[in-house]
Amino acid sequence: MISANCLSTLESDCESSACRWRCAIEVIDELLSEHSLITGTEADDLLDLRWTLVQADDAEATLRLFCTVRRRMEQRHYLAFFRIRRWLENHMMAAVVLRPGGDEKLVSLKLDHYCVEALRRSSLCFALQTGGVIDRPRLRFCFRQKASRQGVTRQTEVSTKQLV
Amino acid sequence: MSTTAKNPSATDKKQAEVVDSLNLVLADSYALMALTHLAHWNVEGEDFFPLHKAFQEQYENLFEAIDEIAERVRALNAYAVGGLNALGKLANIEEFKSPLPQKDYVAALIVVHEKVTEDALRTRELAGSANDLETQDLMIKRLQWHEKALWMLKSYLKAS
Repeated sequence: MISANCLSTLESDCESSACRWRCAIEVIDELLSEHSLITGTEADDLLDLRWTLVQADDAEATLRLFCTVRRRMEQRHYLAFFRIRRWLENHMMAAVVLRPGGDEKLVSLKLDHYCVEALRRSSLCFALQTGGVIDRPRLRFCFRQKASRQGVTRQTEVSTKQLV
Repeated sequence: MSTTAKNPSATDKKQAEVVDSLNLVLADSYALMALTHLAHWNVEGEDFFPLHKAFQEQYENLFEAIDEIAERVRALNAYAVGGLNALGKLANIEEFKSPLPQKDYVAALIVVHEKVTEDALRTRELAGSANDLETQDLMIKRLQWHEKALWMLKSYLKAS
């Protein structure tokens, strides 16, 4: 469920009708409110992650921070990180170009790994399963709505659900 | 889709709202039962036995509850929703696909229990304002069970 808080910060990047998960920012705020359960370093990391989500302009940095915070905190806050993972999967994608001059394909993210490099590799594998020749591939992570605004058509969007 | 009976005089607006809300809880519960069954079949890992057993107890409870909720809709002179497509569309719950890590099954089911709880709470309030104490009582019973299930599932995630 998208919260009022989420709408006020990520209005243009949330598809409230499509997203059925609690807003990641709201979940982070809940974690931050549990003073006794998080350390100062964890609070700093969470605030950094929150900031990148509010800005929504550097998906790679967002994922890198998320992976760091997840590795550090997930065992003690599994449900919170499950909610953030699902929300991020709904709001972020990987844009893949398999060869120079090729079409950019949008691939759904599946946050099954704990580092950005592994996420990059699995996203590339998903894109490859649609066929085509790989030659000096390029991959960038992006926020879903921004990718749409930048002219990547929905026709090239590849869902992991179609691939697995 | 309205599920109220053809004779509009048999029910007022408040009762129609209660019926629609009850049907939503019915659809939610059906979706949760199917997902819990899926988790029961496919869960793997070191906690297989306790989770497999806990999921079975939960989907069995939901199976009985679904019948009770549907029969309450009929008692209100309305029709119960049914059919997998209609129930899925009405519940609007994001389904998970197997395989998942065992903790993800638990977390995903928690999210669905929370959705059912939210809709059951709304139904309880609507029934209260319609002075429909029987529906209110049924929702209180369902809420007690979902809250207990949430406590258990959340405790599992904390303990491990």
